[in-house]
Amino acid sequence: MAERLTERLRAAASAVWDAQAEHPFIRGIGDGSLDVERFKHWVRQDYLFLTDYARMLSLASARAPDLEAMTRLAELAHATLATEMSLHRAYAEEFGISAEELERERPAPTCRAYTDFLVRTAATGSFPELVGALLPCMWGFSEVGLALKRGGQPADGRYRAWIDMYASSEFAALAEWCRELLDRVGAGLPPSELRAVEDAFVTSCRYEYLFWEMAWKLETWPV
Amino acid sequence: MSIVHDLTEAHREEWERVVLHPFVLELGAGTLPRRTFAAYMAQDYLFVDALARTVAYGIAKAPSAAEARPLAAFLQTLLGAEDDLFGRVFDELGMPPPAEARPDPLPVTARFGRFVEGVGRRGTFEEIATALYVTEGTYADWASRLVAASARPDDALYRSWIDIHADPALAELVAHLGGWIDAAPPGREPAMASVFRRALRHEAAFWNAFVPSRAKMRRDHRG
Repeated sequence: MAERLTERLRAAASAVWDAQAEHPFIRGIGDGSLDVERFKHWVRQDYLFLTDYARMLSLASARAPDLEAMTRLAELAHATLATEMSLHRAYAEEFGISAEELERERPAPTCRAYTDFLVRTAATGSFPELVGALLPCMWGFSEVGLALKRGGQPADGRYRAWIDMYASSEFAALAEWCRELLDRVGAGLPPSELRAVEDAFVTSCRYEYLFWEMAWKLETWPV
Repeated sequence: MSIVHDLTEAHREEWERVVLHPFVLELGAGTLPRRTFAAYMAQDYLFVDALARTVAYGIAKAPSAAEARPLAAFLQTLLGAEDDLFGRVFDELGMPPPAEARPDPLPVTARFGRFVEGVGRRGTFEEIATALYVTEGTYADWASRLVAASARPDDALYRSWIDIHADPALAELVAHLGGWIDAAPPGREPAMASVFRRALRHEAAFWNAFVPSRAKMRRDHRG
């Protein structure tokens, strides 16, 4: 059997994935040493990210090649807007972030750049390119969660809950579903289109890395 | 001052012709031939694909998660419960499953589908809300009028089709859509009026393709 397209993409972005695994934010969640202010910055920005992520999933649903993908992507958009965002609100509350504070938050430069890239690719790219841009978030979180889970449990229960969520089998199944979708829609593409898919994939991987960096550095707009 | 109220009143006659169309009345009375219902369902199934994509564009273009959420829930219903109902109806009517049958769209279905999906792709959020207000508002209206008039056809399939559209959840969505239309920034009314008028014409033409309206029969006679 030929190597999976998503395996090749993963290899093309391996330096970025390695850097992500070693990022102080990720290591800090794993050993519990992460300063809570940095984590709170992540929670607030990720909440904003989710709204735009749902936009991207909806564009994906609108442009899906078949009913199965269309339905699954619509379910994901709904789950993001309803379940995941309300989980985030509950989670934020544990860190003393009120619902009003979440709604007031404005996107930091990296959050803005990443979501703009995702929505732009979803609006103007090919469908395989769109899935290429979508996949690193699901797959990356699943890998990060599983790696942290293997590495032991931080003392702070809130960090443990975070790890458990992304290390869950449901999350792994979601990442696998998205991989299969990309393997399927990317099959037999001409080299020029494959390059565009790879470019979208690697760019999203880089933004995933930058998103941790944004939280770590408490990034805001300098002017 | 309500934009949606003004739009509906300005097109009252056309609206009434749609919600009191002979197709609807025969459905309610149970006198609609099953062959006619089957032909309509096969075409409506094709239309729902375009409609679902339009809703997905609406989620992507929603001003915030507050508007996106009810649309995402509606999309779930369209691709979930309503899709299941289509399957059951096709089965009972002795037609192959929708995904296999793939009948060719009638010109009227293709035109209507292109229209709504075009509004989804190119239109503003308010224009999408307007198109959906007509497609969903007319269905909620005719179905709830049949229920209010105690029209309970013997045919269980017909009753299911009435009940799914008389569901309070659909009326709630229509109320949301009306609210979003009313919240449109100033100056958007002409574009919204154009979408409203055209959507209503497509609805009428769609019914007419299966059961000619009295007005159409008169015109055909004279012609």
